[in-house]
Parts: sequence; C-alpha cells; structure tokens
Amino acid sequence: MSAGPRDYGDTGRYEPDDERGGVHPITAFRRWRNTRPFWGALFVILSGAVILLSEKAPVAVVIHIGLQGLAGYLIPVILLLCGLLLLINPVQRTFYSLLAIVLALGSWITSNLGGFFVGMALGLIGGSLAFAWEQREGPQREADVSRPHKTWPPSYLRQRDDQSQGLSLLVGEPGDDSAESAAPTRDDIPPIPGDSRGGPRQAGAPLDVAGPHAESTGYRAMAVCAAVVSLLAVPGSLPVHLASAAVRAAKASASPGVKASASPKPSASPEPSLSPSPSASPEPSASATPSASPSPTPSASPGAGKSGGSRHGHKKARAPARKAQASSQPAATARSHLSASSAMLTGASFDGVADVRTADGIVPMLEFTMSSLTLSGTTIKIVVSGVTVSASAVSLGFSGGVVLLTTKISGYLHGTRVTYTPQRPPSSVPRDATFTDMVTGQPYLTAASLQSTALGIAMAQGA
Amino acid sequence: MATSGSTTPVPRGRTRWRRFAIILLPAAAMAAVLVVLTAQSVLAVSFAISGTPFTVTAKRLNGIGFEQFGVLDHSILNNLPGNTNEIVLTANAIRSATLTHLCQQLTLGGLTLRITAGFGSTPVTATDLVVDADKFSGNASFHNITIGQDASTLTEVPGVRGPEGDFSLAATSVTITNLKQHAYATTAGTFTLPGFSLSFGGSCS
Repeated sequence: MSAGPRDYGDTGRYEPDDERGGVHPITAFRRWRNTRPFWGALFVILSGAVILLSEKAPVAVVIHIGLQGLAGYLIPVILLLCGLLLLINPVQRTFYSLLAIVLALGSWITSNLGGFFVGMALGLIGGSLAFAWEQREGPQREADVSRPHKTWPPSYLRQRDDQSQGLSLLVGEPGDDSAESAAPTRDDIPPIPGDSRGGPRQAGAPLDVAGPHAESTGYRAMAVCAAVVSLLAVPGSLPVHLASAAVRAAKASASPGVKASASPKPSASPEPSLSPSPSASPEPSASATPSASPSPTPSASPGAGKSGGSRHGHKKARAPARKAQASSQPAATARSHLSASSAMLTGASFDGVADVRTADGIVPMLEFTMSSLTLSGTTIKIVVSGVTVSASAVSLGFSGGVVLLTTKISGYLHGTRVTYTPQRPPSSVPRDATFTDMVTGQPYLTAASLQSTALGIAMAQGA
Repeated sequence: MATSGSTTPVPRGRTRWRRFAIILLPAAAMAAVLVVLTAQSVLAVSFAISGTPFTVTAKRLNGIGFEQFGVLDHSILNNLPGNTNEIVLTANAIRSATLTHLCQQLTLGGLTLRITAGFGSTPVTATDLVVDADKFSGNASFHNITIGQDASTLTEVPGVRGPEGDFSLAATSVTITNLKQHAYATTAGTFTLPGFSLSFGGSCS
C-alpha cells in the first residue's frame, strides 16, 4: 500500500486511494463539485425548471399570443442554460450569475409571477451564491509525482484562481481577506515548475496591483456595481413590454375588419406598461352605444355581411330566392344543433334559401330574419373530436336584426309539427310566431345583441 | 512511502458570504419593489398556466372582442381526466377585459394557491386573455354576436383562431356577471392585478 501519512485529500475527508491511484466515484464527484459553484448552479437550474413546470401552456396558444408568450418561455430556458453553464464553465460565473439574477427578476413579469414566486426566489439565491463563489487552494496533497498516471485534478484546474483581470482589480485579491481565509494564501504557494500558468495571479506577477488597501475600496466599488446592475433589472424587463406592445399594435392595425372605433388601445400605449392599458376603461362605454348603428361598426360580425335595421329593410325588398352570401364569413362545419323548449320570434320573415360558404363548400341554408328571438331552455350541442360540447341557457334573448341560417328547423308551430329544410322551405312564416320544442341544425345566428341568463358550457365525453 | 517534493495545489471552492449578501440584498429589494408595483397594478404581468386544472371566478367581466370555440388540448403527461393526454376544452378569448373580484385558485402538488385581485375599487385589466376551460357559467350579454361561424375565420381577438370548420361564438363586446370557469390553461398577454394577494389555502367559491 502506498498510503503515507493519512491522506485527507482536497475535500477534507480521509479518502485513501487504492493502489492503482483510481478514484472512488464519490470522491471524484466531491472534487468535481468543489471546483465550481455547485449549489448556486443547482439553485439556478431548479429555478428555471420550476418556472417552466408552472407554465406548460399549449404551444399553439403561446404562439398566438406572440412575443409576450415567447418571453415567458425564453426566460426560464435561459435560466436553465445559465445554471448548466455555471456547472460546465465556472470560469465565466460572474456573467452567468449576474444574468441569472436579472432573469429571475424579469421572470416575475413574464412567467407566472416568477413561477409563483418560488422560481424567482431560487434564481436570486442561486445567482447570488454563484456570484459569491470563488476558487481557493485546498490543503496540500502529497505530490502526484509518485503516481504519474493520476489524472485528478485535471491540469486546467490546477491553475490558480481564474477570475478576470477586471474583477480582481475591483474586488481585491481573494486570500487578502485575513478574516475569512483559513487556507494558505497565494503568497505561501511556491511556484510549480512545469505548470502553465495563464492566470494573472502568479506570484510576483506585475498585475499584483490590489494590495491590502484595495480590500475596502474593492468592496465599495463592487457594492456600487451590484446596485447598478440590480437597478438595471427593472428597466431591462420593460423593453419586453415595449416590444410586445409594438407587436400588438402592428397586429391590431394589420388584422382585417378590426373596428376603428374600439381598437386604438394598443397604439395608445407604446410607452412602458407602467400605465395599465389606459384605453381599456373608455372602451366599455363606447361599446354600450346601441348596435343598431349601420355597418361600419360591426364590420367584424359577419352574419351575412349585414347588420342592424338597415339590412332588415333591404332584405324585405328582395324576392325569396337562392342567393350567394358573398360577403359573409364561412359557417362552421362541425355537427351542431340547437334545441329550445320554446322559441318566440317577432317581426319574422323567411328570406329564402341562401348559399352559405363553409370549409366544405357551399351549403344551402334557410334564412330567417327577425327583429327579436327569445329562446327558453336552450341547449346547443356541438361535436368536437368525438366529444359533445353543450352550451345551455335558461333563456337567450337575441335582438336587433337577428338573422338565423339553418339547414333544418323543426318544431311545433301553433300545435302542428312543421319541419323545414332547404329542399322543403316554408312559403312564409307568420310575423310573430312561437315554436315549441324547436330544433335547428347547423345554426348560424347573428344578432346585434344577446342577453343570456344562466349560460353554461360543459363537456360530455362521447357523442 | 511518502515522497516529499513539489505539491500540487488542488482547487476547492468556498462561498464568500459577504459578497453573497452584497449581491443578494439589492436583488431582493428589487424583487420586493416588483411585488409592490404589481399589487398596485402599476406593473402588468403575463401568465401561462397549464396542465393543472384551476378555477377562475369573477364578479363582473367587461370585455371587448370575445371569441369562444372548441379546442383539443394536449398535455405532455397523461394527467388529464381519464388518464389521457388529450382533452376537449372551450377556448374563451378576450382581446381586452376588465374584471372585478377576480379569484384564481389552483392546486399545485397538494398545496392550494389562491390569487385574488380587483377586490377594491380598481378592477383587474387583462389583454389577450385566453382561457381553455371545460366548464363555464355566468350571466352574459353580448353585442354583435355571431354563433356558428367557422372558428378559423374569427377576427375579434387578434391572432386567436380556432381549427377550421369549428363551431364558434364571437362578439364585439361582452359583459358577464358571476363568471365561473374551471380551466386547464390560461394565457394572458398582460394582467394588471390591483390589490393582488397570494395566499395558500382557501377557495374561490
């Protein structure tokens, strides 16, 4: 056995190596751990992971939200990267640790309140730990001369501390701080022949600028820097909002059919989001204006490309005949039907069979116009991917130029059962009528306003 | 046999606790400032939560630009009801909304988290709010409503469209009272949360 005096190694524990100089894996891990800001890096990695776990939003939704959604994911991903790099490349820990702190602060705004505060706290602590970590000389080991095949520690780690020149000027020499140092200081270490020393800390190197006096100056300077960097964190996160507000403004102005009256919101707030969407408050009052106003306002409510009373009058002049809905938005193709225990129509008229555009082509539908439609005990069932989504309401009151397009309508009208389809359209409908047990297929309804009571939407698996 | 001779300095690390404090204290102070600014609704925050169902209730919601359509959501883990990784939900999207008495309750690993905001005089404002819910209820009134339009042609909320052929409901503005949603995912472009408070335990009734 080649063990000499008890070998306490560089971890401070008694770690006899075996004869061949191999290293126990736990020992190797401990040595590896000691040569980098391990706990700081671990906390930063955890913080990124916690924030990401708190998100997991469906990717399609995030893409639609745009730049702000992306920022919510970008920040924890970069936090993860910083943590990994702190482990892999501890030389650059100053940058990675400060970056991790700034990102953790930014994650409060962009990512679910910093992963519900836990992620932000972990990131701050981890970044600070990594920043405060430094490399020291451990207790001396017996030479490796007798065991030339020993490969630990790797040669690049045998160099002296690897802080950058700038930081050493700022901070002072580690090892000058006599109150903290128990390990031998740099001055006690004899120069090692044959080791390449790239670092600036070689004994007697000309860069030995910071003497004992530099200690307090260095700390003062570093405190100033730390404060400046932290203060920069807040305006640093605001450009995310600036950029995203600009993106929203661009999207809002570019999207077709956007109402000019109600949309100046994004363009009014390109300044940093300290003012919470000021135009959000005047808008509800703007929308309260009665929507019987002519078409410029409801340009985004396609219906049959018509709106309000003006269309109603216009329709009456037409003879009931097939007509294509050139300006309307396409109707849905999902299987759907609306059933109501009673439907009260006022000012109703049958406008013929219309050709409605859908994703599957042109579908003929019956078109009814009425000034108001009141449904009681309504259920709308839609089949989506084999699941039935049902919306129900105790009462639904449509008013203001109501247009109903449907492929089939049936119910009891004045006690007699009627069923109308585009192949068997009604000749006319009474102006004021009440259907009971009404069922309509593929309903496509447009109205200026809808009042609902106890509207509920729920899913039921299986069609 | 101990061989004396040249020694190899072996690196190990230590944490300089003074340096740690110097960098952590300003950062923690900045974090406290961010929390306070959020509580005063000066700062808007973004949310993107998914996978764990949570409840959102609000006493009143006024929204501009409203869309609703069915979606098939996927989860990375098979933790959705029925032990699948797919679920059909209704996506409710609002371009900009003000909410009063907003309460969000979610359960994370056995711990119930409750976020409330807008209980005072200032309402919560949200933009580009998309909630994927499997239960939705309230008393709603809509302006310029369209029911049954193809969800891929919706324009009320920029950038939010449903799958082609999907059934949808769209309105230019909406007012909902006693809103209650059981949601699996939500994303909000911005959320200002005046009077914000985060607490553990409790529920949004």
